[in-house]
Amino acid sequence: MRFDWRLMIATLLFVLLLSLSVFFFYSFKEEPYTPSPSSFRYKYHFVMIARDTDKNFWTKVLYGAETVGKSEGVALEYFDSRSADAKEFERYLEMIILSRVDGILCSVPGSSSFQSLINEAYEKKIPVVALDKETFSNENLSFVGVNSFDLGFKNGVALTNAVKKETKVAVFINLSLADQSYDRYLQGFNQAIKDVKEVEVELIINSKGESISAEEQTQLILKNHPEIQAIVCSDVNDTLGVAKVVIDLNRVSEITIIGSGLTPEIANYIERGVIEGVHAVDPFELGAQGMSTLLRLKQNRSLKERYDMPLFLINRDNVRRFSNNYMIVP
Amino acid sequence: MKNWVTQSIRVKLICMFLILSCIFALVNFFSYYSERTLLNRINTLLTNNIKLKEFSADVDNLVNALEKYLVSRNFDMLREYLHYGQMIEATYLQLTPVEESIDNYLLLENIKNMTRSFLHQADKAVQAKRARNSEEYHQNFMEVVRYNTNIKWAIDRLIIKQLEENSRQYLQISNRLIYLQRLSLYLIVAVLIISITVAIWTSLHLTNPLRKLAEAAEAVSNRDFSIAPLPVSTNDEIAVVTEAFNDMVASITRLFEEIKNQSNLENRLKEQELQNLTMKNTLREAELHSLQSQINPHFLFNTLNAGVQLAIMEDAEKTGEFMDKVASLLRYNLRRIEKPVTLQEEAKNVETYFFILRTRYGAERFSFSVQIEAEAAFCQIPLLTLQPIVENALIHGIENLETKGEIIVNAYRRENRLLIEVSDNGRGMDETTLTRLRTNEKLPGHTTGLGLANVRERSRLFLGESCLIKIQSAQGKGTKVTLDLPAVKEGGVGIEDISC
Repeated sequence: MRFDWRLMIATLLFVLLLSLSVFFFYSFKEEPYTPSPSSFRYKYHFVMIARDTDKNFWTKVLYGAETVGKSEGVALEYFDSRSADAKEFERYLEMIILSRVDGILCSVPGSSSFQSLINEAYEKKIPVVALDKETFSNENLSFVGVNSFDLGFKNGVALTNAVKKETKVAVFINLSLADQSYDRYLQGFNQAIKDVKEVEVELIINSKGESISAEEQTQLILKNHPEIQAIVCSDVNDTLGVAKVVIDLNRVSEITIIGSGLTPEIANYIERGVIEGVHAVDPFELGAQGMSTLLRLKQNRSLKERYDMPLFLINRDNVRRFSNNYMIVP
Repeated sequence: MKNWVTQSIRVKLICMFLILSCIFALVNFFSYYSERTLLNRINTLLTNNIKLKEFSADVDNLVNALEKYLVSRNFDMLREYLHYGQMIEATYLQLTPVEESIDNYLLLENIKNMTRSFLHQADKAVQAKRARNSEEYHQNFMEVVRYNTNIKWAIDRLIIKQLEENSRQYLQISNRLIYLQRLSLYLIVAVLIISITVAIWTSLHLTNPLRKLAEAAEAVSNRDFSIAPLPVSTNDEIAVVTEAFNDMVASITRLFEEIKNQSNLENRLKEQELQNLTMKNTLREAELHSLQSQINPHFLFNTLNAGVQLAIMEDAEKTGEFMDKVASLLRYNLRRIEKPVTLQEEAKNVETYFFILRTRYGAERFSFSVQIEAEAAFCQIPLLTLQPIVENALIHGIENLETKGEIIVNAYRRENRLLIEVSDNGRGMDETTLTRLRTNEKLPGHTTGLGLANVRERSRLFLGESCLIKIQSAQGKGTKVTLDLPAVKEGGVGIEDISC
């Protein structure tokens, strides 16, 4: 038989392909995956749990916290509570406390059940840092967030700067604030308008911190109290709800709105002149500061800390800059 | 393409088969691999979920057993509690998530931590029970229940998360699989079309030459060697057969030609032989005829010589002369028949014959004259060309004539032809007889001569062409026989002595 090299090559090719296929077949025989202990090496297991009503905001807070935590070997667990009800929220908090995590960053309602959980955490020596709002009146709790008095005061100043004539004001205060914080907000506000005769607080409304209920309340107010010409909100959702109703009722030019918190929608309203201005914090900075505080607590470098986040007044002049700076999720 | 065409059929077939097999094998393997991956994933997920659920159930069972023990202090319950405790102890650290994601891993860490605390708390409850500290064990038990609730909740959460993630991945893989299946379907259809096309092409490529070969073979078997050589475009086995066939046809054609040539040659030889035999026959016929007329030549000669001497002795000069002439005639007749003679000699013989005739019938009865042109005198003619004709003229023409019969022999040259006329004023012939003579038919009746046919034949043999014999005759008006021969001088054509 004459030696035909082409035949040889073809046969070899076939054998090669066959063996490759067999190899593939056996090499991809999957075994159950067991993550090696080294694949997730971390120093601290922290949890961030927040009542996530404004996803935009909290994504950036998380990013800020993660950025600081990464360099310190922190594995940050985040509870995505967008669709969770209060019970699940509570359950999660309870679970992480029972799991004896290394630290908790939380922004939770100040109800009694949460209070007791936070106390339990403290008893179990789990460092806790409350974020954003002063919902707890616990003396032992560290806090990084908005100083209520400061917010109230600044809101008042902004209002007095915004209105030039006699104005009756309705003030929306979030019920989730702890009692003391509630009072301090009002104190701050009153302090600011104290010397301004034109501005008068007509109504104080307790809000739930939900946009829809704020809309409802606003409608009622404007219907029953047509003399109201300014509305001040301490919560981002209240701000949104109020603005929507004012637009719907076509009373943008008549009513001055001073709010809190910055979202793309609010930024839009500010640009359009619906909202006069808002006070907001830098979410990234909030997360970063919160994480640093927690780390210090964990490392026993401090026992209790409090950090009042700087508030920025965002109005038509600077809304673009602020939007670009810290509303883009990196 | 050229290289492919010149490969042997075996290589072509094997290559094609290998390529198709490879393609199919690959498609099948990838499809199988994808399906296997998918199944493995689902398998892993479900196994993991089952493990988690079993763990959760164990935790529940432990709590139940503990509760029952705390209530009833039943040692069986205690044993059950310890049993579940051991199981949980053994398995909880081996729990793993399905996906390598930090969230799942941390959640699992939470579960593990809670389990540790849970077991610790349960043990404390048991110890408190043993110490009969009801408040403490009650408290501990409430904690145990709390841990249980949270552990179960965490496990459920983990299972749901894993299910969600895997569902997404499953859909991804499933879509990929569907895409792959569609792709392999297209591939199969394409490969089918290609392989059918290639199969048809290859088989045509095989069968066409074979068919042409068969047709050519049939043509050859029908003795049609004019077919053109079959084209050879490939280098495979078909080409070998085709070339061999072409060679075979060429060889057969060549052999055929050779055989034909040989046969022609043989035919010509046979013809020649036949001619020779015929001539021999003719000669023998002539000889026979001439011999027939002789009884014993020597006896006759001697007798005639004796007669001549006797006549001389008896002073019978005429008789002597007559017998001498007869002897002369006889002698001439006995000459070798194959040797040609000159016209002059033949004429002389004819005159001797005439002398004899005059003596027999009387000078008044017949008159004979022989006139030979000088140029024609030395032309060669076969022996006994004139005599038979003159005999005919005598027998059929003038023998029974009432009036004086006349025979005139005239010979002259016309260019290269020798013309000899023998005319008589005899009875002539009717049309029928004339026709018969012309067609060489044997005439009934008295014939002792060689005949015109013989003359014709011998002239053909001797001179290369048969002499033209023109016969002019009319009933009662006489006959004129003209011989038209080629004029051949002495020493010209002559045939070799043909001996039997």
